[in-house]
Amino acid sequence: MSGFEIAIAGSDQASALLAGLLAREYGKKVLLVQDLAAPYRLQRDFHLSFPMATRPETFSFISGLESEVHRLLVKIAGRQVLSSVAPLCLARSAEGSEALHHVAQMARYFGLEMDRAHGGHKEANVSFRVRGGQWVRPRLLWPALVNWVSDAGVQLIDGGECKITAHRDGSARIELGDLAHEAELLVLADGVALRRFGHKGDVGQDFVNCWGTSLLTEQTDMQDAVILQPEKGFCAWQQANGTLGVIAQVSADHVGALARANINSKRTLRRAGQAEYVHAVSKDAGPVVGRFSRSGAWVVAGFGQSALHAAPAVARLLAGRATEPEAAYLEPRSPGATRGEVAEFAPVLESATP
Amino acid sequence: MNPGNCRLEQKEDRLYSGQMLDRSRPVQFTLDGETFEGFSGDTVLSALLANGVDTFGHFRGEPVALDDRLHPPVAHASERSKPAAALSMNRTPIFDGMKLVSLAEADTKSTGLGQNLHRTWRRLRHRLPSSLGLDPETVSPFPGPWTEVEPETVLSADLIVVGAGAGGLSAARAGAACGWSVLLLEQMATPGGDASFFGSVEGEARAPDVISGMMQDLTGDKRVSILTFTEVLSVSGGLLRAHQTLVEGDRPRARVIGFRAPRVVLAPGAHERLPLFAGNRLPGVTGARAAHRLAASFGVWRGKKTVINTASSAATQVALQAADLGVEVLKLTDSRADPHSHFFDFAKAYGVLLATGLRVRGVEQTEQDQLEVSFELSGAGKAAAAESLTTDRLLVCGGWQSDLTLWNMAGGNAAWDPDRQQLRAKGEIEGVSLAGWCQGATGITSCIQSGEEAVARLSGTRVSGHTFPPPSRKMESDDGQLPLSRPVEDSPRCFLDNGYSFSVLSPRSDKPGLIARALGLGEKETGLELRALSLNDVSAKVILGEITPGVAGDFAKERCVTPGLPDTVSDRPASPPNRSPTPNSVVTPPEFLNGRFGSEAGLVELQSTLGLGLEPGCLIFRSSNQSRPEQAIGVVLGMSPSKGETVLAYLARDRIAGLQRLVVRMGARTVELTVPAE
Repeated sequence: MSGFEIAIAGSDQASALLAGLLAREYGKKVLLVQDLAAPYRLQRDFHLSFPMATRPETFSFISGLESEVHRLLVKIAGRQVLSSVAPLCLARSAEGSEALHHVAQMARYFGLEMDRAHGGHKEANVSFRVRGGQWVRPRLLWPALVNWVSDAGVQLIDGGECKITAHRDGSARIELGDLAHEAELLVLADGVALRRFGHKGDVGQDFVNCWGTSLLTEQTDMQDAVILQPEKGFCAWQQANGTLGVIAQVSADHVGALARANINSKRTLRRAGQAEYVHAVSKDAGPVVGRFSRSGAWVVAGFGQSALHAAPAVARLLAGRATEPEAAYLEPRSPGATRGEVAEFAPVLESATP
Repeated sequence: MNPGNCRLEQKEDRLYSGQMLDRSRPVQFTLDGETFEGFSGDTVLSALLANGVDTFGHFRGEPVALDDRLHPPVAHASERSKPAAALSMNRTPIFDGMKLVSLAEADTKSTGLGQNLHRTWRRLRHRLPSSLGLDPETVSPFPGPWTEVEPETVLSADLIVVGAGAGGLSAARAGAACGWSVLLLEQMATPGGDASFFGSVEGEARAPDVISGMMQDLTGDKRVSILTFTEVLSVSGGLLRAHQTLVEGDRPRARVIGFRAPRVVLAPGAHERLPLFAGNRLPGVTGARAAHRLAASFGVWRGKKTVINTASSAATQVALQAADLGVEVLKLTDSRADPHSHFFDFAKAYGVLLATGLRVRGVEQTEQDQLEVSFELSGAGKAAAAESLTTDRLLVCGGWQSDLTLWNMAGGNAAWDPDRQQLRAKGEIEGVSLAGWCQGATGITSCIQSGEEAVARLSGTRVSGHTFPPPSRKMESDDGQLPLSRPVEDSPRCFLDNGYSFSVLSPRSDKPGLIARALGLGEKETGLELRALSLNDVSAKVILGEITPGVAGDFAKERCVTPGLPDTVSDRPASPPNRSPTPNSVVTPPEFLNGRFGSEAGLVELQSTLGLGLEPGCLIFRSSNQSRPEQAIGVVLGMSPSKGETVLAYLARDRIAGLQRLVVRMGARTVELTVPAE
């Protein structure tokens, strides 16, 4: 049996970055419980340098971390990992349109240009073009991130097969076959880990299980580099070889129609790969960071496209080194708190009862 | 050309006599304006191959074989623009006077006459009358546009069985015995699967007799319907989506059809693996099973001289059957070091030259359209370094990969089996059972047993995890590893499979890291990332070390999909989008504003002094000196419905006492709003 200070359960890139930061910057002995297939999989997360947020404190929190994260990512994966981008943001519902207007106004206060894209999309009720941001090229980050985490001394085990028993004091026992590990603190760091390893009472309070689908298309001719539809948790981006990556908070049954409507290609969209999954998503679309009351485990979730950018602040919080503004932002976003005052615009989710 | 060009001689009681054909009834049809001849019973594909058309076209300058895994969709000339009417060459019988067009260039701008001229020009340019002149990179969609079509009808039954090989027939029979209505779906013209190819081993009844016996049981049973020429494309949300060719009079027509049942048995068999060597998709290089199917059903055989290289005993019988009909089998080579098979004894009796421990190093096309095949020792082989052979045809067999594509789509998982070097099914799915190859059964007896057990599981009669060992291990060697000879620079391409993904094994040696390779980064050539993969692609990547075995199942589940993205459910809004200034109808503040402006915040109507509509989200400040968002005391929700220039705001009401005017920031502009007197 081996002991760790922190066990992080999560298979997205932000979980890996968080694990590496805790090991490198704060000398923690870290166990990363990751689905080992994750780096080979279709992308399930997408990272922009700005949040699709309506609250000034969220913009302020993420923009305050931007330069730190970008330096870190460039160090991990080289300059090419970051790229300027001007995403087209769409909404079709009245609620989605209203939210995009609020996001646009807020973005302008934080140095972004987010203007109406008149005639930008025939299917949209409203569309905005966001300029001044950067995106993290996901396919370039994974290979480098895996090496970086490994070099940091983080131990990886296959989360696909393991069992985690959380204790009320926040510690946990992680078993994989005949091997068992103890960790002083368990952190559930993505929606899949929350669903798999979280206490139902804890998770049910702030999260809902919903469908997500990732899609890889054959080569096509999307006019924009990146298209977002926040009301569906939809994101599509062009890859260097002409294929498209798509993520949406819908089931596989709906993703084709949604992608076709949003991408607006002259060519027929064709599938080159697809993954459907169920994950826990915060009910109010706001971040949830802190200790669960029932199980004692920590949760870090709900940052959406800003998850990578939030990682350094979360690492500081876990290491007891959070700055005052960071603590002020994260404290009201703890699980079970009165969250009425931290809600963001929530996509219409397709709930799943697997 | 005539229908006998690439046909074997017909002899009574011979397996390769072309059992589907009526050779007394020649048939003429046209494809893209060119006339071809065949026999009644031919499919479009078998007739083309019989006419010597063995080349699909050119992939980046190199010819690629036309075969049962790679062929363009076709349609009646009058229906070329209807995706639902597209036909599969491999599942469409020919009729006299039929006029077909290939839909291979649907994504290019040229259509009709222009398309035909373009293709003819390409064929002339490559001086290949044996080629369809297509470019696989521009052909889309594969396998056909029907993958994008909604089912015209949905049929239901108590049990659906996919695949009418020994396992599927057995499952259908067992299902009927339970009193269930059964739909048995088979992609080929007749049931039986590959039983005649794999044959039976000592102690088992003859495979044709076994199949024939099960068919007799089923055809007399009204609860069972057998649908042939029906290929299941996908399984999603309990709906099986299939493409079917129906023959109405003398005109085949296609339809996309859906199936639903509370119980499904998947018995689609196995994919034949393509050995990895340079030139492994050149015209004339054919899978042994594909060659067997063509010869047995349609009597089709290319050329007079054949060389065989196999890693599986079943392929050796192809040599015997062909030799029996006058084909000169130059050499039967086996990549295994010391294989045992009763077929080898027969081969020796036929005078076929045998060599073991050899794999193909590479193939090149000669000026005379023949193949120059070179060999190398495959490890512990006993043979001396072999000479090159010049042949009309090279039959290859790299072993087998269970076809778990539908299983994965249905929600099943797979894991890499290092002993058998293939992906095998893992876990269970409620209401879905596997039979035959997919369940690990390889002999005809164990396939029949697996079909019965699949139904037993579905009927609630629990069957413990049964394993089906290969039959008579004493007599038959296990399949060997996938033969692999890495190509060198300037050799013809080496593909991972002969499907439509065109994944290429790069000859370069300075490979990027493992994950980068799996994601297709840094490779000289792409192909891998551009289309869906086959299970053979994935298993080849594991064997090549490009994917770690532990993640192969997950990788296959995501990448082995059908290309069509049909509109299962419309995402369009029920009513047309509201294009008037938004959101006029909003009268309650959205949740994301909760707490933003304190506990006294509420809706307030303000009067705009600008005469312009204000956009939702504009922040409201007490004075023009303020500009930071956290200083805002409210936000514009929109223009008040039917009240002209009245602005609906969500405002900290406790912070406007005594104020007559407020300031709204809209980009660089500021706008004053009048506060109501009350």
